[in-house]
Amino acid sequence: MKELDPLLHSQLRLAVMSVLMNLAEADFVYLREKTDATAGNLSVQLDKLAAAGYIEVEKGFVGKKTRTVCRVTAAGRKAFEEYVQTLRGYLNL
Amino acid sequence: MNDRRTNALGSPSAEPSLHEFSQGGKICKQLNEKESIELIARMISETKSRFEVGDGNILLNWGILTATIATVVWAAVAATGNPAFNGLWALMAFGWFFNRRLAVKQSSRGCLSYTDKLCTAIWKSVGILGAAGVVICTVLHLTTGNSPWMVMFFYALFVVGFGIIGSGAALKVRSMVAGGILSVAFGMVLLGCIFSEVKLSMTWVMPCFIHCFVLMMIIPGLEMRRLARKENERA
Repeated sequence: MKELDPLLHSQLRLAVMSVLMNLAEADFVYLREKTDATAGNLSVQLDKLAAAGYIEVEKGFVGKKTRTVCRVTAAGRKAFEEYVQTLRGYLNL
Repeated sequence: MNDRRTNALGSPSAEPSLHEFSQGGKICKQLNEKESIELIARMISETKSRFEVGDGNILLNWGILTATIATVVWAAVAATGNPAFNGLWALMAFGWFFNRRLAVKQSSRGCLSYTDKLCTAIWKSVGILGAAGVVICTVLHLTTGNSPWMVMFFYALFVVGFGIIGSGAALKVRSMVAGGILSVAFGMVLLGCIFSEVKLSMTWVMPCFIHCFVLMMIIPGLEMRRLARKENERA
C-alpha cells in the first residue's frame, strides 16, 4: 500500500492544510487560533509546507502591522487529495 | 511575529519533531490514520461557510443610500421641476466608505473564503463599470452638451442587478437572486419602452427604480442580517 506523505502526516501541518483547503487564504493569526498552536511552532511548520511547495506565504502590511497570508498551491491541493485517498485505502473507506 | 519566526528557524533546538503539536500547552501524540481523518473533518467543519453569508450590512448600506437619494431626487425634481437636482446623484460617491469599511472588516477576520473572493471580484467589476460609466457620461455631457446620464440608470438596473444575482447565487440567498432578476427585468421594460417610443415618466419610473433597490438590496440585506444573528447565537 502507498505510504502516507510524511510532510502531511503531522498533526499541525495536516490541521493547517485542512484549514487552507477550505479557504482561499488565511492569515497567520487565524491559523494559530484554529490550530491552537504556538506562534513559533506554527511558523516552523508553515515554512516546511512552503519549502515543499504545498503553500505559498505572502508577507504584507495592514497599516503598520505585518500580516502573513497563506494559500494552498496546486501542488499542495494534489498532495492533500492523494493523502486523503491513501488514508481511505488504509481505513477501507 | 517575524522576529519570533527568525529565532525559531535559526535555532535547531526549536525545531519540533515531525509529529509534535502544541495544543493548550500539551504536546499531542503521533497521529494514526483514524485520527488524521478526524482532524481533517474537524478542521473543515470549523472553517465551513459559517461566515460566508456575511451580515448583509454592505447591501443595506448601498440599498438605503441609493433608495434615499433616488427618493430625494424624485421629490425635488417633481416639486420644483428643476432637473439640476439630479446632481444629487453625486452623493452616491459616499458609498465608497462602506466598501472601505468592509475591506477593513474582511482583513481583520483573518481569512477569505472562495465565496468572499468571488463576491469581491463581482463587486470590483461592478465598481469599475460604475466609474467607467460616470467618466463616459461626463465626457459626453461636456463634449455634446446633451445629458447622457440615463445610461447610469440602466447601469444601476442591469449591471448592479447582475452583480446581485451573481452574489446571491454564490451566497445561496434566494431573495438576492429574485431581487436582481426583478431589477434586470425592469431595465428590460424600460429599454422596451424606449425602443417602442413609449414616453418614460418620472411618476412611474422613479418609484419602480426605488422599489427595485428595496427588493434587491434592502430586503436581502435584512434577511442576511437575521441569518447572521441566528448563526452567531448558535455559535
